[in-house]
Amino acid sequence: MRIIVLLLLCSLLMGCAEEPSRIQDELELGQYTQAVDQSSHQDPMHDAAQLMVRLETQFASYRFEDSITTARMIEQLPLTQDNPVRLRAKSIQLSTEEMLDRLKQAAGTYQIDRTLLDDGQEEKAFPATGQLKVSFGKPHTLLATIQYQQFGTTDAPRSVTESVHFEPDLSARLALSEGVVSYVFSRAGLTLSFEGPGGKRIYQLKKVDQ
Amino acid sequence: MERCSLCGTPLETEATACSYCKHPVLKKQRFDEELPVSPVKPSRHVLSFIFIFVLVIGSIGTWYALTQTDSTRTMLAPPVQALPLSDWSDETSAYNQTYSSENPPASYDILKFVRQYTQTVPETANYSKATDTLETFSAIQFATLDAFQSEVDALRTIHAASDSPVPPRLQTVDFKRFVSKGDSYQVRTVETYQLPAGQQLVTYDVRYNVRLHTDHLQITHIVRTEVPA
Repeated sequence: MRIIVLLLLCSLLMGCAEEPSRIQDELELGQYTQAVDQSSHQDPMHDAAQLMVRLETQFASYRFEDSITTARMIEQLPLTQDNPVRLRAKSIQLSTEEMLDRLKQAAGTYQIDRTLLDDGQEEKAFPATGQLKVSFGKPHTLLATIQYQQFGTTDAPRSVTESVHFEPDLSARLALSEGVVSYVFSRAGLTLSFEGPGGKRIYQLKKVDQ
Repeated sequence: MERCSLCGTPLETEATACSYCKHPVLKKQRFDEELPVSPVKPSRHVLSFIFIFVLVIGSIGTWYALTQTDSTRTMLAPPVQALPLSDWSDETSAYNQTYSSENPPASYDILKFVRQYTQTVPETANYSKATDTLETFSAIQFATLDAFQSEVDALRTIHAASDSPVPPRLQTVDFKRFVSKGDSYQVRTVETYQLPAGQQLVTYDVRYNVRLHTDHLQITHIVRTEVPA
């Protein structure tokens, strides 16, 4: 009888110290592909891990609208509120929504507010003309189309359309034949600068109210 | 065996008084005769003990489990926040990140690593065996020598355009398939580069094999195929 009591106690203690599975560890560490690799289709966490892989590949491709769709699918899964997969999917969803809001604010038509020419010796304004139209693409949300409308110095305005890949901080830096052009979006508007052998030309652009 | 209720001395079966303190036992005898109590079996004692034991442990367990979930819930109470930009963008360089068994790479780290590698591709296309030192090409920080050389061979279209004063540039990287096979990762991407001549685009279907080489990530194999426009 004593042995039975002891066995009972041991089994209860074993039940208390339940060891978390390896897949659980991988999910907590964000190793979703490993979790998919090591779980079977019957595993309740398999689908969640699979969807997380899809979400992260879309997010890493900067396909923000697709990411939101997948994050919502993960939200529908029967996971507890504090499940690490659910929390990670939610953070990604919030990041993408925040990003889409910023892109919405950045898109539009810009006109020249101030200009600055820095030729290494002095800084002065220079005459400039024209407008810029910025729109962001789908499904690659950070790929912008920039339409120059008679834009540039008054003696040589340009009317071209450029496809520019922006980084998530909404800046882009492109090499030109002799120099670099950079775009930086900020709260104040868009700063466009051309750096070349003749110095640095900065256009401070302001969004046209629509 | 019956004992005296006053001093505890063992009593004879038929005794009417305690042999030691002379305390009468008549009353008890009469009670015993009226209500004969069957002796409790020892096994019943054990069974009731087990029952009470299980009940007590069970209720302690339930109470503990309930307090545990409550406390973890309060610990995780802060609302979910958006990720910091540096966590998911290419603000921090991925090639010098180190990992260990306690700090293994997360799946997003692999994607970030490959994405940052693709930014080095236009530069790799410029590589010339005759004039260039391999170490100056940033792609070598991401990939093995074999992978780098296979890239130089595969990037002919971009290489042909790289004489132009405007260098080719990366336009989009689309991650298509991402799986783990044991301790290696396989990533498939569709990459588009813009060539300077008339903004022409060139698209590649690329398969990468990434491995954790001692403490850092390394691309061990690349199969790059140009997708006809």
